[in-house]
Amino acid sequence: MLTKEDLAKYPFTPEAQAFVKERGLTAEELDKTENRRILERAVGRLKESLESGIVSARLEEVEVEVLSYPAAMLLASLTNDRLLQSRYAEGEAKRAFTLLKDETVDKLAYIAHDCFNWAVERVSLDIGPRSYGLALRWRDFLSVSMGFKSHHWKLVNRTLSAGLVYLQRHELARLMAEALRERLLSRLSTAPTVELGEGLKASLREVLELSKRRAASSVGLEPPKEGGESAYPPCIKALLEDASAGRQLPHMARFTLASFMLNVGKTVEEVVDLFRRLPDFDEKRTTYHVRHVAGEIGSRTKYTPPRCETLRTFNLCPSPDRLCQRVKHPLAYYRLRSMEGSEAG
Amino acid sequence: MSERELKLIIKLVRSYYADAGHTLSLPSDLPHRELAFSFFERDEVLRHVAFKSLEDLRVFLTSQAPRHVFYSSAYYLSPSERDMASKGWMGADLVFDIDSDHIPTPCKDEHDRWTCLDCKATGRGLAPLSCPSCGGRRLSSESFYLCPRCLEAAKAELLKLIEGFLIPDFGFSPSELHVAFSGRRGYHLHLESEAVKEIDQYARREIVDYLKAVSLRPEAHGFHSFVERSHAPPSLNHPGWRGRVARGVYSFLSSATIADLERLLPTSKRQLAAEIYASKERLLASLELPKPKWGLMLKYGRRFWERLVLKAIELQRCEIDERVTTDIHRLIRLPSSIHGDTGLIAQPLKLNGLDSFDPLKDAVAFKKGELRVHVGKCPQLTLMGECFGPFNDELVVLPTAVAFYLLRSGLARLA
Repeated sequence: MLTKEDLAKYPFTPEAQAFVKERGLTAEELDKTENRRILERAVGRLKESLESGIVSARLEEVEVEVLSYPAAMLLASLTNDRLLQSRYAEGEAKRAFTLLKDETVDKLAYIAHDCFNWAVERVSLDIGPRSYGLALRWRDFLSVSMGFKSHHWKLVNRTLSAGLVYLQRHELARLMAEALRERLLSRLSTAPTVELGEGLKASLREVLELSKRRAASSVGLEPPKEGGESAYPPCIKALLEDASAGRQLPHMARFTLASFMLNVGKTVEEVVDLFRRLPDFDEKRTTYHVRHVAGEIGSRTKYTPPRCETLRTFNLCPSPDRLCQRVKHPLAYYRLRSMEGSEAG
Repeated sequence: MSERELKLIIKLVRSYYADAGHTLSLPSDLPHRELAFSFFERDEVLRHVAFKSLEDLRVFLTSQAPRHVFYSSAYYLSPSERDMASKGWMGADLVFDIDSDHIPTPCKDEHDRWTCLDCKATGRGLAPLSCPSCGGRRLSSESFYLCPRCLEAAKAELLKLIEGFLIPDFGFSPSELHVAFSGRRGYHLHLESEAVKEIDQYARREIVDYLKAVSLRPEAHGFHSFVERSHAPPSLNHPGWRGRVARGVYSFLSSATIADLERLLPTSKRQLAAEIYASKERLLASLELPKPKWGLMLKYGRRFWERLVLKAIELQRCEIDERVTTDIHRLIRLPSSIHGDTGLIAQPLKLNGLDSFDPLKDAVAFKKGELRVHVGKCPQLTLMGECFGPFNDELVVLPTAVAFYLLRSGLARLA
């Protein structure tokens, strides 16, 4: 089904990977002069994703294009640089999207099944102004649609019938690109142990340096520690009010309040204090739970508060304001408000 | 309850589990489930219990005669570990809970009361989300009554879930759906297929949002203010929410009174309600067309149109308890066990038997015998197809099932 050029377009497919395996390119060989073009292109893939956010498709030299993909993955995983890794995953996903969206329905369905084991059906359904040529099992749809923020991708806003979510071609391409991004991100988090030659070491230094320069020039993504209470979103303000009035709060409300406060820089003790007036307050239990949320004990995950959508599901979004319309997460609200505050001041 | 009363209750429950003719219906893969129990004589909840076989469980139930029996919707590698992290989560059934407490039936005013635990305000009917006088969210509600109308409403909601959503939209087959009466006020629906086991919490929340129409954008389904210019407007037989909203508008209009219509109109346009009411037949007929003429409704103003669509969504969404469905570690009442506060069986049900199922008759556990009890002040009660009471401080002989319920509700004493 896939042509040689397709392998260059989609080096993440099992067929392309079989090609790579057959060629048997090791880290050691990658360092050799005859493979310099491959290493250069691998570095190029990483640089492009850092600089322009998208990896280009160079389909003239099929072999270089296919083999440089696992080489770039190797380099990216060896950097241990989370920001670089996420930019690279994003860059490859965008590259895949621009190529996939122009494929035929048949080829798209084939690749979706081949790569992600998705059951895609070819359909022909006109609903309203849209023609749907494809449909995906809802479980497959939900496995990636969480990654999107727009209401357009919520299951409740899709056409769902007989277990299938109806999609247009470019929508399936988007979902596949997102599935690819998530897959790459998780693969990149574990680096293999390999002996690096001089060429590879130099390449690694090169991309790391570029990544550092980019990180320094971009706006910090960490929430500012001093946004103050006025920058809290309405949901958090309401919860704070309830807590200080000593009202009973359901579990989800407590979790939301605790995780939000910890993420805007409050200490465990400060957060425990917030719950002091609750009718069932128990210092030991509260401290235990807050430390859990802070990632100090238990699974060691530092939790972030739930997204706006989750809060709506749990009825914890009583009075959204205008800024709420623009954000999907209470911390995003806090960040924006804090920035507004510092600009004004 | 007195010790004598407790002994009697425990004896009855024990006899139910000991009854050899009675077969417990069990969830799949029992050895990987956590079981939990509460008891009549003590307050503790016994958790993290696992059983290798049905026989082991039956021996436990017969000897302990628990008040409530719960099992985990989740499968664990070591279900008896106390710590969640070492239990080893393997997956969880997809579970839906429909509780008549969450359905605003008109009879709620007759038999439900709520009290604000903060300011002590009280009210009748369904408890509001927050207290209208102090804004507190600590509300306790009470409803002593097993209300046939509320149970009927819960069943209607369950049928809506199954026939309106799970089968046509999600494509589940009827044989995958396991339904049980909850033993008091509603129904549980379990899906145990491999396909749903590994669905994560986020995906479960998306399912909940789909069923409850959370964040539904009407315009995503063609219900925008320029619908009249659309060459393919939403119609009654369209799939998913698109057709469902259209059918909701149709069903609202067909039963709407003038007062119902007035509520959808801004104050300045209230007088239009009579006109809309008079043209109801024409509006309904236009909706039955393959290309419904939504413009006929839009002409009463955008506000009316928007509220009409929202009303349709409100009528069509499904009232499930989101906490149950999104929780992948949930404990749920074991089907075919006894609800220790009602004496009713959490009866497993066949889908084709749902229509005729009457929980107040068919789920009664203690059908034999009578007990002499002293009943205090108590309104009429329906059980086993008969009405009992109202009572006013009197000594009576009642069927065991009725006496069980009144004793457990604190409304009667053993004479």
